[in-house]
Amino acid sequence: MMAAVLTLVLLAAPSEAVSRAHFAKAQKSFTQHDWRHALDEFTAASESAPSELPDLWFDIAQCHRNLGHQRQAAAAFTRYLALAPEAPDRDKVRSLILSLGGKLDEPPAPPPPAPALSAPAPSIDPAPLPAPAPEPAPATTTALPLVPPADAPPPPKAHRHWKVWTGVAVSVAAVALGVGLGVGLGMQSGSSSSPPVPALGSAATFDTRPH
Amino acid sequence: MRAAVLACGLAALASLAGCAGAGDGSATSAQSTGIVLTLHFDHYQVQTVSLSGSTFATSRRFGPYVVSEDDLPRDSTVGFVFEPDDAGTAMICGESHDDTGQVRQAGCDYFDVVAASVTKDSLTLVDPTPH
Repeated sequence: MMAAVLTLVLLAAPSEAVSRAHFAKAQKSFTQHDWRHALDEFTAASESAPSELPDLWFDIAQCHRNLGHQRQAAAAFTRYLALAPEAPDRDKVRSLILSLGGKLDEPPAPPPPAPALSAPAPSIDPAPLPAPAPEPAPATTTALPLVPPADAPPPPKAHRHWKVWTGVAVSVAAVALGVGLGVGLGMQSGSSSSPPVPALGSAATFDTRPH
Repeated sequence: MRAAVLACGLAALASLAGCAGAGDGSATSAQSTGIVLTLHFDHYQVQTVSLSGSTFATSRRFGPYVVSEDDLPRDSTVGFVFEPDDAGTAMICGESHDDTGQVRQAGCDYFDVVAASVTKDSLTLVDPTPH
């Protein structure tokens, strides 16, 4: 158990090498239009980077955008602008945020302290993690399209979200109805065989006992 | 018959009064059989967490219980109330889902269930997809 925890801690520790590895995988997935995997890898790269890099947020936003996650894309673009308020593509990103349903009225967060990874000035086609040597990176690693390619898979339909939330709402309503009926019937019958559920957890308590 | 109904009513009232008197929950928790789990998971993009499991002693399954991520601040706890007969071992599994319903992290572990006692432990959800 301790070994597993130690492994998790080591894996979760910020590491430039780990971040670069994730970034390489992300770029490969991105070029293959595997947005989901690219998003996971960009996210992992961002989480394992020693400091927060705006370009990674740009890439994360692009993945969300290509996946049809408008809210998350707008949030990631907003984070990008917060970290790089003087980005040369800020106007275009702002219009993107607006087109994605985001808002621009939030005051920009101050830029973080000098990152350990010296990121270049972000652009429309950013290279989130620069190569350690000054040699130019291959074109495939820098050309992250701002607009989804024509052959990109269509974004998921909005009704998928509705289905999820409807399912959650129905589940919650069913649980609430069940609890209400159970409490009501219990009170009506005057039975004290099923004591009230104590609040054990800070967030939620689940009664696993058969009713 | 009327006396029995009256006795039941008084017992119910006494039970309710007892619960109300235990405002801090300590008296109730002390007699409860349960587990309090601290959930550790990456909250990024997570919309809901579902929890389910089974008891070994009574071979009973429970859940899934779905909790919104909004209701699960970092290192928050969830409680499970069991029957005293469930004492022994329970397996509890958790899955975090994003807004498309896709599983982002998952985890399972075994926990001790002690009759008339509330045990505390933690459950960590990790990314199931290898990188």
